[in-house]
Amino acid sequence: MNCESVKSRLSLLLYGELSFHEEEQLEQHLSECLVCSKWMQRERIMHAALDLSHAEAPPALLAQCRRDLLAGLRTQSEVRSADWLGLWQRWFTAGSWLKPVGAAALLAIGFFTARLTSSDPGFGSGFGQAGVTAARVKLVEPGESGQVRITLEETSRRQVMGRVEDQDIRQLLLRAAQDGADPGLRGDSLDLLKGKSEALEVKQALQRALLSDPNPGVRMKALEALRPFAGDNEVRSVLAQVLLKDEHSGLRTQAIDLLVMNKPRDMVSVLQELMQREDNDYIRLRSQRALREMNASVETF
Amino acid sequence: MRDETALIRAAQGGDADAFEQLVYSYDQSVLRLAFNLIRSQEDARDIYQEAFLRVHKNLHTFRFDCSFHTWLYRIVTNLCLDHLRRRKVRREEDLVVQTEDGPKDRLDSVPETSADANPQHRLLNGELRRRMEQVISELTPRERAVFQMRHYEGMRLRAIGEMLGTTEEAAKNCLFRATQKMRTALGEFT
Ligand SMILES: [Zn+2]
Repeated sequence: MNCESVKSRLSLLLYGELSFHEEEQLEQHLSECLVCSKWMQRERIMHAALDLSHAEAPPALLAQCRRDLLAGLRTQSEVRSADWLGLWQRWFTAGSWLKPVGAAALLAIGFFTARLTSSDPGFGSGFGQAGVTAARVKLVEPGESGQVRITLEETSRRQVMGRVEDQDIRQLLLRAAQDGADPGLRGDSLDLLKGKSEALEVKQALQRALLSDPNPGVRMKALEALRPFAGDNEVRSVLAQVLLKDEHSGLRTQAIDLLVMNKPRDMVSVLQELMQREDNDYIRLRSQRALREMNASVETF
Repeated sequence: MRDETALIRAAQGGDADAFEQLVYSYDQSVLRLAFNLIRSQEDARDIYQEAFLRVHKNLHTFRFDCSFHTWLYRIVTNLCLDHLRRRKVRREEDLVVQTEDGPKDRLDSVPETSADANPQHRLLNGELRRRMEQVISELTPRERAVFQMRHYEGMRLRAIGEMLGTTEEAAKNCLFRATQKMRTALGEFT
């Protein structure tokens, strides 16, 4: 092996991409040839230098790409839904059973349009199930002239509009305020109901959310909505429970601020109990001061 | 963490979460490859999007006769090569990127990372880096792709050949030519 062919293979040697035999020959040569070992050194430096021209993609770019992809997948699944819709329209227009039930068919198409092109909730659950799975096949049976009749069961999506005062609207909001799966929906619902918190059912829903919603953001919204009722006995008892039991110190802080606004004699035992268990300094201080102002002992005996 | 085969099968069956997991386990290196090959954030973003949309659309055709990694990178490298070939025609200025503050030398936006901490690296900065960018931008798209995947992504030539739809030997020749061009161009620095 001459020096020129050794020199040209040095890079492949560094990459470990030579055959065992070639590698053996090269190393043999390098151990004996000073000129080529110099070349090898330069080759190493070049490899190191090349490392410099490599850049990680900026993290913001990755985040942006993921968002784009999400949107892109959504569009893709909508396109597929539209394909399926096209199929339905062909069925309806070609099928002999369209004519007697024209109006119903159009209605059904409208129904599917609403369901299938409504935007998917997102990456997590949407794009895999667009189209056929939007409706469940309930029954299949042979129809006239070689056709089949398929009965589908579907959940549809529709919009209703109205004021929070409307009983139906309010019932929907109250139901949404308890939607187990979606804290965002629960929070938005509470926000809308907030203006009507003098209604007993709304106030109860807010208290329920404040005590037992698993999401602290939703509990905070409920607490804010109940602020005007901080003098109300029932609400005070809920706030006391928050103060003693909620694991979120921000909520406990809000609760104590509301509870100690005017010398709360009914709260003495709650505040004393609080002093036993609270480790948040601000809350302890507020509680201590309120107890002193009421000439109550800071500790229970 | 589910094993990859299970993940792929689930994604093929329409499991969106599985698809998401699959994307997230590869997308960082896909983006890095595209970004370094194409040298433009905007275009790398397009490649990322197009690649994973294709994966999503064609995943049902994946038959496990090569690794998912190979299958995915075949899609990505093809998109990158097409892009580089189109750009060759457009004769775009490689080293200058458009930013909000006007055109900017791309090298200024390359993070210096460990380079500054290492005295040997510091010597290699500046003019050499500039020259290196120039040489890399002058490689043919295939040479560039092979070099990128071998040098920076550490892939074996056999896998690279498979991804580019060619043989290990052809990939080796590409790498050989690429390093020779670089050695010639960078000779005076080393
Ligand atoms: Zn020699």
